[in-house]
Amino acid sequence: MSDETAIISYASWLRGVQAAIAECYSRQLMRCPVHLSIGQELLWASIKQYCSYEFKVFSSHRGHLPYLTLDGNLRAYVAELHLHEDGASCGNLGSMHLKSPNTGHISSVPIVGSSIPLAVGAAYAAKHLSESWISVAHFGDGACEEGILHESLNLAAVKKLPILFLCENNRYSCTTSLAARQPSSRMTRFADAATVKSKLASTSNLTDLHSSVGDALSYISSSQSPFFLEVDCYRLIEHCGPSLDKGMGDRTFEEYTNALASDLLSHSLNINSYERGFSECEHLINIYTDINLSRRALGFL
Amino acid sequence: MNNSSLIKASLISLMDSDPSVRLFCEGIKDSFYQTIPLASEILRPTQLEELPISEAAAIGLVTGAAMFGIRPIICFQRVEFALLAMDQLVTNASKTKYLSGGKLTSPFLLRLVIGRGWGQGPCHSQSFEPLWHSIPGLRVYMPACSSDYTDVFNKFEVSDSPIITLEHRWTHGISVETSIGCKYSAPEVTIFCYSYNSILASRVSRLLAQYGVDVDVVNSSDFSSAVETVRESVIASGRLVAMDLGPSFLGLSSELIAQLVEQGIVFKAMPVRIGTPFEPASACPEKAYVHFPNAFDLFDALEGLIPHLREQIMDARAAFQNACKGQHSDVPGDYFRGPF
Repeated sequence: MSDETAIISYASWLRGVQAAIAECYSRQLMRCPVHLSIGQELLWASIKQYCSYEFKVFSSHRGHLPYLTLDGNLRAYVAELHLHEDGASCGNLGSMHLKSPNTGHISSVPIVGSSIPLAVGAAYAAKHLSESWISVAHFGDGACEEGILHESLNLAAVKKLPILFLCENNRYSCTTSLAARQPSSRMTRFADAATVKSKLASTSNLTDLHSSVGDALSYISSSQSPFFLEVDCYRLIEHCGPSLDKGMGDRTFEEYTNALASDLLSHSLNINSYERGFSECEHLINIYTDINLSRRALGFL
Repeated sequence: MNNSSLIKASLISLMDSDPSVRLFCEGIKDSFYQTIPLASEILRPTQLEELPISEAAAIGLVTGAAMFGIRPIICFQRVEFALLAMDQLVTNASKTKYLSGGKLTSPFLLRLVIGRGWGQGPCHSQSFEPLWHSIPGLRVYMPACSSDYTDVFNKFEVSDSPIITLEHRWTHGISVETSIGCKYSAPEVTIFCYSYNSILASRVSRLLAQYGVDVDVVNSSDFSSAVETVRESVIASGRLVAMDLGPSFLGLSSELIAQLVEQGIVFKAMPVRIGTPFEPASACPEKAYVHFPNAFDLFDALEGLIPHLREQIMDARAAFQNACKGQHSDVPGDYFRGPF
């Protein structure tokens, strides 16, 4: 299987899993705010092909894809969304804190931008303890509006640390468009200001996206320096939950229609992988739906 | 030897014995009030790390680095600068252990200096100890004497949590031999205090003893054990003066008194709190002297609590006033030179 076929297959599985979550969320038994990444799957499916690298990933409230990519324990994932003790964090933390420290997904922090300097710290440790891992700060265009990104880029640059600043520019912060929040649509300009090498890629060009990810990792590993990769993408559903947020905020239905029409994964979807992801996830959701109905019957859920 | 040189010696010993220790400080070559070593004074100069003026990213960095085996010590010139890193302290550093289900920890030592005097004013003289104490997962110390400082380093060596030490700059210059805290078999009053207030209260207590008034001074660098120690003394004295560095409103004294009341302690007289008013501090020496707890506040409180000893207290007060004559009120002693 070529890399691109493998990426499409895995991205399709990720979409199937998320689609099942979206469909079943209305049962009101995943009792935490769920932030899905439907429309953004190709990036993490690409990163999965580079798992010969050891990663330390620090993500945000929208951290389902790094969790699934690096850990892949679907049962622990579904159980965590149901706040059940079988979950990835024993059902204590829910959707916004998905993590798996043993497999390299160290943290997801639902305060925008907050986890970025932790990744700088992990890179500092790699450098000074002679470890080979690549630290990844995973965030969105919204975090680029926080001062902490500027501080972290500056610190990583001046200390010359092996870290990937991985920015998914999905063009929305909740329901507010990028144009209403920033004077430019390019996040790489923040890297330029800190003299951090950067590249812009897009989920609409898989070949370039995959080679950009590879080049970034190879640069960090060989130069032991920071790199900023901005990935243009589009979140096809609302900020938190399973629906379209049409009629709310800045998005128009026309924009959705156009985005869906140009969504590369929709066009090249591996139906088998998608359906496998959907059914595996739905099966587990059904199990935890029953469990949570029993918990509710006992009271307090 | 004073507390500054003691801190520096402790750091040198810690850094030389443990290569994973890293000292982060903006102005690393400026000695941080004579409390940190120069590159030439330690075995591995790479353990010293200069910092950009990025408090939030710096606390994030030490939190992340500590997860993987670095043992950071980080210094900010004033407590207020840590406010810029509040999110990192509250969201990340204090919660590493909880959020990782115990798989990761972030032990680091954050040294914050409390300014006072020499025109420090409203933004360089706050300590915010109730704020730091309100964050589960952080350990907080408010040292006054050499054994308090030694205790901080001992705790840091075995800690799996971040530690904040609030270092009043008027505690740095005092001799390691200065005795802090007073204990009598039948005290008239108990004074709860920490940080610089402990130095002040000990001086007042020693003076009062010369006039036949025995006052316990319970120096409490670690508030987590303060209630028990104060309780013991209050059972003997039945009277309490509780001193805060900052405002009495929502201060540590409020928490202390609430806990003692809950425990059924019976007071012979109502407890008295001494702290700052609930307003910003002036840079003006005379106004700052009145703003912060001072010896005369203590004499006033004691007069109210033990009126039968009023004469002796008045004599001690006069002696204190006499000893202070001609001295500046915005420095801890003649040895202190401005500005920092």
